[in-house]
Amino acid sequence: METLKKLFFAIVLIVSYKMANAQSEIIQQKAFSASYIAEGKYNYTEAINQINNIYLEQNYEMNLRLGWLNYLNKNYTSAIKFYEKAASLKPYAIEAKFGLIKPLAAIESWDKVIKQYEAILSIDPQNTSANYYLGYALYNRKQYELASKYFEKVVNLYPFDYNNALMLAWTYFRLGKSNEAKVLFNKVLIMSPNDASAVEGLAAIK
Amino acid sequence: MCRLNLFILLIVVYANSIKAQQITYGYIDSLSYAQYNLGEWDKLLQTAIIAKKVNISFPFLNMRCGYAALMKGNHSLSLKHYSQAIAHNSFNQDALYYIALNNNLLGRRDAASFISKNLNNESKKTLAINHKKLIEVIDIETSVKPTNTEVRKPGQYYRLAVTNRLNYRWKIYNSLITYRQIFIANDTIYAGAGNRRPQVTFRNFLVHDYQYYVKSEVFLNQKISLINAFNYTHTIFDNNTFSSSIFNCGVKLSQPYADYKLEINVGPLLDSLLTQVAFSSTYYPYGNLNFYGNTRVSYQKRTNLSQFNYSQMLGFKLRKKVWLETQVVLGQIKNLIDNEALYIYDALDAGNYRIGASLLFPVTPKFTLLTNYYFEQKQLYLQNTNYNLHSFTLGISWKL
Repeated sequence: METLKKLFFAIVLIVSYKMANAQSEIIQQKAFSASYIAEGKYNYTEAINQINNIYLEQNYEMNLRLGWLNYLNKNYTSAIKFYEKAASLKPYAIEAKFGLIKPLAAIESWDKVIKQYEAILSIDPQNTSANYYLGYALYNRKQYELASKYFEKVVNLYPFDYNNALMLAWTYFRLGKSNEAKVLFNKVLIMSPNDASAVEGLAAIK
Repeated sequence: MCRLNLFILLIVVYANSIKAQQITYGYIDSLSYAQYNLGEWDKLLQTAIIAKKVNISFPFLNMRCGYAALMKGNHSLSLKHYSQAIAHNSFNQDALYYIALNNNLLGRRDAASFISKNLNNESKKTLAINHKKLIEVIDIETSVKPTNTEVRKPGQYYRLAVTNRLNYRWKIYNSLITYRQIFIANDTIYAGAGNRRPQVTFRNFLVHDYQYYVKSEVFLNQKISLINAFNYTHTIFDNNTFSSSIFNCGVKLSQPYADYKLEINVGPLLDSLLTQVAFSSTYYPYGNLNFYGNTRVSYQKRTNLSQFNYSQMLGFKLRKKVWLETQVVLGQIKNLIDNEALYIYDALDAGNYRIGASLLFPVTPKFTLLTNYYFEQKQLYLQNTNYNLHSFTLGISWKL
């Protein structure tokens, strides 16, 4: 009899837990759904409020969503805070890091943007977006030698991509590697005939 | 009465609406931008304080506040804001330019050179910042030190210094120094056998110091720099010669409103081994050179002797291109090592205290004239007789 009582008590506990969990999931789904609808109507404050009402600090999805909505709402410092939280909750997720880059770029915090790209590449070294944009950021800083490493990687992955080839061509040009730059500018003209930037690059080499 | 109630109600509602207004990035951004455009520098700096309270900081706000502080003449505060901006983007050309400019305006030329590593060449040219120069600055200094005692003739001091800039973070400072003074000594002679009446004769003898000084200053980062110096002194004292070698090692922490330096000096000085530890701070309470100061405390230990010194300098901008610096040094001045071992006060007679003042005239951006006067009360060696020394210095600094 005593064993039966214990078993019954355990079953009640498990069922209650499962029910509470299911209830909580339903509440979250409803809140996220309402948030998507509000976002679709460009009512970002309402979309944020829907998530705030059920906000759990240790929830990755909620932090990620609030990062995105605060970014859309142009509340960049808050967006950074939520994306950082999301990134810390799932350190090997690159989506939170890509998300974080958006508000950081909006406030022109380029050092932190570069750090995020580096962090992404430490997880996913072949990531084309991270390689390209990191190369681009370094190019803008006139760190051509370093930029060339990232552009070379994306050009090797996507040899027939216009943006990659053009940026590598200009990087080689800045490094004084005229022959390599010339080859690439000519390739760009195959991908994009009469491309103004490639023509300008070839003229500068001559 | 009814109107008054309505008025109070309106005020309460208005106050609550302001309180309720959420301070967000967007609010601070738009408010600070409007204040920046209107040149409302005080209000803008207040907005930054409000933003800080709610943990909102972003490069545009830092840049606007940096400029506002610069416009208010507070270079330290401006440095603080612009430094926050470059923490976000170490290649921010505007922030780097203004950090270098603020450092220059605070007289921190080496810090300006360090920060300009990522600065474009045009801005470096405008700020007259060098990254590599065989001779960056030439300093010439001379002084004469008359006394009111017959037994100490006026001392003469000459110094020539050259600064070499090796790169944006490292500079070497070389200096050749000479100091000479004639002393008069009395010799007592007992002439002839049985003649017990002493015969006192006076004779002149020369005390001559030749010094070579070299100092290296390296910036490890924007805040910390390492200083190492060496001073070799060859002393001719009557018919004897001595040599002294003092090694100086220090670390300096630079903050926007002050810098702090801890240094240690070690080495054989004349006939004893000397160790001196010193802590000093230069500060700019208003964030500029309108009023500034330097406080230094040092403790020296020599064979069987110890000495504590306190020195205080206060500087004021008297008018455009004229600064006055007043100084006082307290504690016995005997073999005191000052200014990162550039000056070693190793005179035979100890000083009791010293007060003085300097006038600085930056005549042009390249030339600065310096005049200094100090009064020192000294005591004749092995006697209780005090005498006065007056030092008159003229110096020129030529930035190439």
